[in-house]
Amino acid sequence: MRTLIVALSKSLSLISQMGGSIGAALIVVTAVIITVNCVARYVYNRPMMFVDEYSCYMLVALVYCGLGATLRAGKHVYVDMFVGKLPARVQRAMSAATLVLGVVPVSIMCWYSWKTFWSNYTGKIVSLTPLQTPLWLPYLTVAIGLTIFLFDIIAIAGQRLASVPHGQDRVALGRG
Amino acid sequence: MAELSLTWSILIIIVAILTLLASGMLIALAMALIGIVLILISGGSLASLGALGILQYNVVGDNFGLVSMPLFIFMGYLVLEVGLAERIYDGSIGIVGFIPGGLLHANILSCAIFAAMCGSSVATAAALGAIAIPLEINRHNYPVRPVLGSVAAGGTLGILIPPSVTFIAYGVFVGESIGQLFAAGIVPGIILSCIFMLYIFIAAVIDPSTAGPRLSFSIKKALSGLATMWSALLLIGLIIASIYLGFATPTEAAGVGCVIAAAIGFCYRRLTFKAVREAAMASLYTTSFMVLLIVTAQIVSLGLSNLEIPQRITAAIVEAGINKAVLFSLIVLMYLILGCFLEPGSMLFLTLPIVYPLMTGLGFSSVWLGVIMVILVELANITPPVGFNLFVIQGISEGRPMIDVVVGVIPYFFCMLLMITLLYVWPELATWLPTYLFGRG
Repeated sequence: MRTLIVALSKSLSLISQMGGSIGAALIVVTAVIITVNCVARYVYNRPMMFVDEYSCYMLVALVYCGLGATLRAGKHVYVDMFVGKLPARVQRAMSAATLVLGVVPVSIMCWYSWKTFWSNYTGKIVSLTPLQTPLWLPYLTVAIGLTIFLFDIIAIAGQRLASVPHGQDRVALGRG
Repeated sequence: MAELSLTWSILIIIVAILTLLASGMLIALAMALIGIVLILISGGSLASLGALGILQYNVVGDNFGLVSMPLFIFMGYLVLEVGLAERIYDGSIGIVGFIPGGLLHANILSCAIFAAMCGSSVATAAALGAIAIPLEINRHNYPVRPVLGSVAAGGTLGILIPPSVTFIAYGVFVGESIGQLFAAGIVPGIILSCIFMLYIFIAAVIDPSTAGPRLSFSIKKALSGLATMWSALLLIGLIIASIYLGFATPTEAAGVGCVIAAAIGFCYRRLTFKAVREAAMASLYTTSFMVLLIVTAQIVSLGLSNLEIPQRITAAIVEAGINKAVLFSLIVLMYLILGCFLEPGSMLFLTLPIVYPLMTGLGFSSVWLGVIMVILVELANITPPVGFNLFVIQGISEGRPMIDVVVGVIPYFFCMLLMITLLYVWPELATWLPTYLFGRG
């Protein structure tokens, strides 16, 4: 059981890291295409129509795909003033319990993100711009990102509950 | 809950939030949980949660201004990685090092200049602190507390002087123009920097032992100081000019700023793949955690407005005839207390769903409120026990105790309260520039 949890956790960690790397790359890409667009507009008087719209889609993707990596890097915040004074074992139990509780809202957010993706996909809804981008694409990134985030929360909660040694996840879960 | 009295509704919500926070739950998850429960209570069925799917996309995807957040953060980290902070600090010494208070003025000036390229208070404090603290304490024998205090407080200018991540987050949350908010932060940012420097000057004149030796003045040194930081000034000038001369939106200025920062790093031979990667990853972490807070705060806001709680609070306050100044003071006091316990961004988004409709409902300007909120967030960064700037400065202070940072920062705490008072008495300090540039404050 413990081996299975560790294996699953490692796979999830890899997926989160990939999400993080994609998100980081998207930041660089966004900076570059926005700059190129400015040059194209002012120097060649030929603005690129897709830049504003696609920058927003890339933001959606980088934010949601980065949630899991941010969680694993311990960059989400929590208040540790009270919990930090408890014995280590109780802290671990509290951490697991609050993560399990956190699964509830994230599951609901996740469910509705897939639902919205599906309604956009089946309804063939497109953006109200000349590009008419199928909106299921950006909605899909929300759904995938929240799903990774949800599984990361479950995995870390599981690790805490089972007291499994877990490499880099041993660092504090967030910034207190 | 609709039948509950307003007092009971608020009490239940506050107790629920405090319990979840005290249990150590991630703040964003706690806010999402509270928001979902509020929506369920107001709608009475699961169907009322249907708006979540659209909301969590629209908050992020329908806002081109929000794209500037990761870009400005990325630019700040790039500037840090390519070593512009050292140049700014060296240049500032030549410009203000001769004033009584000496290098402490350089701390404030360099933080203010660095703030104009970096939207983060903690990053500003960390960047300048790492350079200034060892130099001033070890080489120039400056007293420890004033040095630590000035850098911790100077760092807070990072979010008041644009570009500012907090202004972007506030603007996105309340639907205010980010360009106007940036403009609104400029004058208060300059005034607050001057207040800090005025305090250092007065303290050094009254008691020279609060500072170290001042440097001699020469035009050559001052010009050489400016020359040292030409690249930083060029970057700042391009960002500000492009936004306010109408050439670019804040988002475009951020994108171009990133590329210019990278180009400067390339010229100085400091730009490496590793530096870009680390800057991008750090930007991703900050953006993801901040945007998740904004999204979950919008969920709370939706739940609260469905229950008409902000409207009912505003109506109750108007009915009770509470003086605006008293109410404002109470709100400031509330933020000072919350700032002791909460991470500043979380504090902002936990309270905005109530405070924003309340204050704007009472006639306060949304842009002005943004500036006040940013200063309150700054204060939260320097109030113990959870003041991020305090931790950062203590971490780079070569083992000095936290009490040294806390005591050092106390005078600046009061300087910021003075700034809030000035802004309350003369709101034009914040609203004049946006009104002048955009026709509305």
